[in-house]
Formats: sequence, C-alpha cells, structure tokens
Amino acid sequence: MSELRWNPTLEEWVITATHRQDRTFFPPPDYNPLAPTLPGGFPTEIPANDYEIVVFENKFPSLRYPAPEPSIDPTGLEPVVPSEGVCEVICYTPDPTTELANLPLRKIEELVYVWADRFEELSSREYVKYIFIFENKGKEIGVTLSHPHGQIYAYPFIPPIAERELNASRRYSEKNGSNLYEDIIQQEMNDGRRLVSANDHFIAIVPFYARYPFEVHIIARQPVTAIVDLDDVGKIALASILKTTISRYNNLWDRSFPYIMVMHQRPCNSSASEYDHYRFHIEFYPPYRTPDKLKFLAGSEAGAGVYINDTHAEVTAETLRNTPDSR
Amino acid sequence: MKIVKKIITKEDGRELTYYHFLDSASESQQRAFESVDATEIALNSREVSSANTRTIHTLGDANV
Repeated sequence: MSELRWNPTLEEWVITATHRQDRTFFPPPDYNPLAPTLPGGFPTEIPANDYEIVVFENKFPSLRYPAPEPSIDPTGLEPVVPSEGVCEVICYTPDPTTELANLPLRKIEELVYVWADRFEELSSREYVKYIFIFENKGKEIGVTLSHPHGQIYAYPFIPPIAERELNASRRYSEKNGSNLYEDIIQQEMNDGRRLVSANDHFIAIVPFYARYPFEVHIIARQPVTAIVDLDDVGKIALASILKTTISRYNNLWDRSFPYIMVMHQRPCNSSASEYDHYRFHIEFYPPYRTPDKLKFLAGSEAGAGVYINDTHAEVTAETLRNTPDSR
Repeated sequence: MKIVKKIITKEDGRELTYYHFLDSASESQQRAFESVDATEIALNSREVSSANTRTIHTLGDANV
C-alpha cells in the first residue's frame, strides 16, 4: 500500500509504501531476480536467458498507475492522495558480479541512450511531472539487491530538491542576466582547484559547496537541460566522463566505491527554452570520507538541513584528479 | 547506434522493455532478444498483449 501524504510544515509530499517492508532483501545467488532466467532455473524478472539492457516496473513500487486509494481519509490540514507515478528498474548488465565502472565504454553509452528513451517515454504520461533517474550502489547506501542496476522514479510532482535548484537558477538568472551553472563552469575551469576532469561537453568537479568529501557534480557545458537534449556526441561524452568518474572512485582505495548517483534535469513536458536558466547535471554522493569512515547524516544534516563536510573540496578534487582511470 | 526495443506485459501486468543494440549484441543476446515473445512469456492468456517492436534510434552518419 502506498500513498502520498502532505507535510504542511515543510510543504512537501512524503511517500508511504508499507508493502516495501517485505521486499526482496539480498537473495542467495541462485535466486537473483535481476539475472536472466536460465533453463530449469529460478524464474527471474527477465524471462529470457540473456539480455543487454532491460527496464521494468518495480515489483515493490513506491509509485504506480493506477494507484490504490489511500488507507486513510485526508483532512484539510493533511491531504493524502494516491501515489501515482512510475518506478522502474534498469538492469544494464546480465552479469551480477560486475558494476557500471567495469563495463566497456560502449555499454555505458548504450545506457545513456536508454536513459534518454525512458525520459521520453515516461514524459508522455500525463500524470508524470518529473523524471528522476538514479542509482544506489553499495550496502552502505541501503541497497537490497547486489546485482548492478539503476532506477527511475517518475513523480507526479516536482520533487523538493529539483524545485529548489530550478528556482535558485531562475532567481540567479533574473538578477545577474546569466546562467548560474555556466558561471560555475567558467569559474571552475579558470580556477582549476576543484576540477576532476572535463571534455568538450561536460565538466566534473568537486563543488565548492560539496557536502560529502568526495561529492562530484558532472555538469553539461552545452545549454542542455534534460538528457533528451543531448545529441549523439553529447551522449557519448556523458558516458565517457561517467566512466572516468566512477572508475576513479573505484581506484581511489582499490575497491568498489559506494555512492548515490542522481540525475537533475528540467521537469518533463517542458521545453529546453522554458528552463534555459537551468542546466542538466549529475551528482554523486559517496558516503565514505576515509577508507574506513563513513559520513553519517546526523543531527545537523537530517534535522537542520545543514551539512558538515570534514574536508575541503580542493583537497579531495586533487586526490580524484590524481587518481588513475584504470589500474 | 542502432537500437530496437520490445515491450511486453509480464504475468502480473507490469511492463518490461528489452533494449537490443544491433551493433554490439553478442550472439547469445541476439538469440535472447529474438526469442522474446509475448505469447510465450505471458502464461496467463488474459494478460497477453501484443509484443510491440519498434526501432527507436538509428545512427547512420556518426559511425558510432
């Protein structure tokens, strides 16, 4: 049972999804639901004995359409509505032992095309307002299935963080007459201390305002505001800088590096020009601050929304810049 | 990049999309994609929907 409950104190929706309490939790290898279905084997989510990339609706979705009626009656103070939307799982490799960073560049390019296709497909549904593409990687993040995969949440509203970014960039543009992200890119390219890597279409930085020690933002250098705006060269450039970034993460301490990867873009059913004050970008939130210490979201972060970073972006950016792409 | 996709409806009504990349698929993946068929996959005939196959992108000029 899932529903959207309105929080009037923060003016935001909360999704309750009680059926997710019993979702699949680290199944044994023979019962991997994201593997291909082999002859005589356990029937997985993918009814074929091999695949390249498959995308399917989550078996334990937080959002679905049509959505069931809420379990509780709304009040004027605390509305509750059906949790309409779409939750998808993207399986981009049939190999449960690998990860995105280890895939050939070609395979990551193909994934970028799939992301763009999902944006286009889900945007066509009138109840969808925002496409959120992301990946949770690592037990430390709370992943319950170790087979490498990403997800898409197609929300029926613009989520709070996206809304803050869109509004902030609009206000900046109205005040300064320029694009906030373009100005950030120019500053970082000129400064260099927080630069991790760059190509003609993207820049990867540890932002000046990084909240996590090894937080990286990959920002489009061209005026694109959604993944569907990327042309073929742009998609390939995105795949390249993604592979560089996540490979360096793994090579930092010679082990698989957990992170949350999120894609921030304009709302769907909008035009690029409508949001030309904004810029398509991807953010990484890795939880480790040292090889053996996690950064926890404690009182200041969770209760006040004020992050405390134990490092300086200039230091961690230099570390990542000096980390090889391959070993 | 030449991509084809098939969309099927699973037994429980959820949609699944297979993406097939013509230029990079292995023989096993090629055979698997060709084997995808809604009639064969949907065990419950009430939930069978026609497999929807279409080319979503063809990149002829960039040679990638």
